[in-house]
Amino acid sequence: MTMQHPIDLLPSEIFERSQAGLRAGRLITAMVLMTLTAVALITHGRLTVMEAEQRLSITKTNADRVLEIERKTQGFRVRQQQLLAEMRTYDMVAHPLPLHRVIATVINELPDSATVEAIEVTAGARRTSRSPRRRMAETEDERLPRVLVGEIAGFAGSDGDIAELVRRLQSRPPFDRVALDFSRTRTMRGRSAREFRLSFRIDLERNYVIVDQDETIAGVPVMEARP
Amino acid sequence: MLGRRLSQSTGLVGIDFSADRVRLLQLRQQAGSVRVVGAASHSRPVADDLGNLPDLTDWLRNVLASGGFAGRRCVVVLPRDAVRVQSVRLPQMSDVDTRQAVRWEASQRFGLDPDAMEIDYIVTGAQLQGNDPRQELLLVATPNEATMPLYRAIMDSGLKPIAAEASLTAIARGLSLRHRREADLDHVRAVVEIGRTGTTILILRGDQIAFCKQLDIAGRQFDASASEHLGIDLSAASEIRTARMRAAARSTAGETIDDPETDRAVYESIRPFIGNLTKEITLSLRYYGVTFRGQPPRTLVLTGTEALEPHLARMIEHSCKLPVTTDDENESLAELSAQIQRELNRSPGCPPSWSAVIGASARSFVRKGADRSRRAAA
Repeated sequence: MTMQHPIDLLPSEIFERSQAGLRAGRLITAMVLMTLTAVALITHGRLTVMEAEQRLSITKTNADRVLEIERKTQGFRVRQQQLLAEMRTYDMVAHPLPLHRVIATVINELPDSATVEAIEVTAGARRTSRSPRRRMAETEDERLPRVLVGEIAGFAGSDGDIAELVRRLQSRPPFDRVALDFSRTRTMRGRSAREFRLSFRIDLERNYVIVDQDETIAGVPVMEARP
Repeated sequence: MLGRRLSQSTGLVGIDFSADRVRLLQLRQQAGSVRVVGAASHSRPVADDLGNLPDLTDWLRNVLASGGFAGRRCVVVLPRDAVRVQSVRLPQMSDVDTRQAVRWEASQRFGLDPDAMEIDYIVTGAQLQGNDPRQELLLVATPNEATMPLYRAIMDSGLKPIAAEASLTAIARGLSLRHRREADLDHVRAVVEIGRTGTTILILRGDQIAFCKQLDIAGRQFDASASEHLGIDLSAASEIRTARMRAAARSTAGETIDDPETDRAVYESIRPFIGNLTKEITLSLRYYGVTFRGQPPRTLVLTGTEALEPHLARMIEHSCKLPVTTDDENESLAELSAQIQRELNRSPGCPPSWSAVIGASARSFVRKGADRSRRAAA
């Protein structure tokens, strides 16, 4: 048995009108939905653009700050280089220790019978032996180690006092390589004495500090080496 | 969630003009069960509506706005007076030829202009005796002049009619919400719809109409007979009968007829009609028995506005030797009636009177591939 179909007594005219109405309704609904979708998309797009613009503005501000900091850093770097250059110049030309304290130390170490007639100090570069290859590789900026060379001339009662002076200076920083250049007889006011000349070196590349007041003589502190 | 949404289907808005009320109902099918989406009823006879179409349009517009209905597509159950039904036997022909022959046959039998009527037919599947090669068809026709005013009023309200049918097909569908499988063709039921203006006897095989006969026995005749018998006016007789049916539907105190003599008098006044009705039902069952092979009807379902007439079911049961009910086996009407009451926020009246509009709304719940209606074929 075949299945019965549902009977339909609706006039075609009414059916067509209904279908047209339903189609129009569907069309209107589709248009409304499309419009709403378009509005939603546009709104979403605008919000996204506004958000992106806001992010761009913040990023620009941050970038400006970074550039400003970079510019300042560059300025500080230049200033640092200038200061380092000045410091190098200063280190090259300035005496790292006060000479009057060096003289005071010499005077403090003199034996009773010794008298200083002259003290001569000369600041200069320490010459070291260099290979030909190193000499060729030398640059203008290469800084040679500095050294203070001094000579003390005077007289003492005996050679023993002279030797005592050499020993004392040798054991006392900042003096180094204390050496007796010569010693000879000399008559002073009718009395026999020993004239001498000794030399020493002070390494100016080392740091020195002044020891405390107990070790001063006549208010002038002596120094000791603190590498 | 998505699966549940996909598995649900909202039915069409059914509009039933077949009784003395206009009823609107929309169903939704979800996970195999059916529930009411919206419902409304209007206690004006169709004749009054036809006389005041703007009033009908306004009422429809109002209930659509407030009744919870979804969509505007609707199915119209035409007034009984506007529908002609006739059983004919025609030779086996192609669908196109059958349709032309049916139109000509209906025009001849109903005396209608073939260009001013709508006609459709149902193949009953009857096995004719002997070597008769003809097929039995049930012609259903309606003159346009009787229905066009209703359609215009409906369309003016915003509804879009997509189909119109007779109450007999809507009732058959309404009582077969769970008999739509091919296996249910062996489930044979007799359905007697007693309305205000006529009675229809149907025999259903599953949800398929195998037999149909229309009678003039109706509720209005019952009212007129009771009025004459009791010597009261027609409206009073109608109210007494309504109260008797309400009492039969509910056993609550206060709704019964306190006067047994009046009850007896009303029963006696309509007894001849019930006798004629049982006789027609018996003849119809006998005709079905000799015309169709297979199982005879196992139950008889009483439906329509007058289905709850006291003593009616008992008398039919006694004469036809069939169990008589007013609902299907699953009590679908009772279940839907409770939902309709919630939607209306008042009593929906006699539950069987909603079976036609239930069937109209369920028209879109047909089996896949089974909708071979005239327009679907076109």
